[in-house]
Amino acid sequence: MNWLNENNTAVVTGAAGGIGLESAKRFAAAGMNVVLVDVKEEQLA
Amino acid sequence: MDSFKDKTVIITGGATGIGFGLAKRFGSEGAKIVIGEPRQDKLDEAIAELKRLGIDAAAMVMDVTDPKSMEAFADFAWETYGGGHVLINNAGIATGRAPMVDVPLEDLHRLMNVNFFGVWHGAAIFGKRMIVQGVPAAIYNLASENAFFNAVQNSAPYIASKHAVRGLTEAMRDEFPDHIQVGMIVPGFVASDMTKGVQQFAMDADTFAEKVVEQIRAGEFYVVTHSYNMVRIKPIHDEIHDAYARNAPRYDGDEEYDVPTLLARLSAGRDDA
Repeated sequence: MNWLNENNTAVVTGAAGGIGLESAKRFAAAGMNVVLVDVKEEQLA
Repeated sequence: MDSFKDKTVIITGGATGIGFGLAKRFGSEGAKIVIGEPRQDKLDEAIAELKRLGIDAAAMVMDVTDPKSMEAFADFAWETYGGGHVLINNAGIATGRAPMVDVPLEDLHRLMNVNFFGVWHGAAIFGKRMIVQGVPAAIYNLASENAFFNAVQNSAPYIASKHAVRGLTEAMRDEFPDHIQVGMIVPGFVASDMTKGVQQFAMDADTFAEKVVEQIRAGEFYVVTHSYNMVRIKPIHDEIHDAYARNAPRYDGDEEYDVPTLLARLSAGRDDA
């Protein structure tokens, strides 16, 4: 089963930088809906 | 540590179960025993029995979750017997079993406060004194077979707390000076208040304590007692090995991302990164 498709949603915590941000980019590139979560509001924007 | 005669052995949760078994065993070799736990009546019973066995022992009502109480406990040991040579960070609890997603957070925090932070407090507070004291000493933390594999389902807080104890003990082994022997005790199923109701199937605490004391004497890091554990542990090691083999196989120069290698290079001053 490949989870990386446009029917699925990824939630990434700590998504404002580093591994979280890079993961979020990969999920988005695969067409997924991506929910970004972080305490650093400005860096999420 | 060849002999425990006249050494001071401090045991948190030393009035019952594994802790009390260890108190009797160390005491039978002439060690001075200091036990602590929150319940005065349990301490009174334990001290009466230790005295009956001719063991020199003292007790203090204390709570491992409170660092001030742990400091007072260390003061008590030093004032009563003039020092501390062996610390057994034994106190531990189990909470009701529940699926991880349903675990009440207050249960999780209470369990981590005793099983992990309690061990941390003991290790840090006694460790600091033992470093200054400068004579051979030992600190042993109570892990569990659940630090290696999941023996009991629906016990995520307990399992996590014991993995945390393992990690802490590994870090202590790396950091502590040579005169302080560090190790982790890995009980399987042992009769104690924690295993009430099924104790008849468990290893007797006195038998367990005898095995533990011999391994501490021998300087073992992993103090192990339940041989069938390896049947559970080996497939985990194999699974880790297989995952690396499939997804991160070795290649020439793969130490490029190895942190210990990098740190060694930096501390040798051969890199300015």
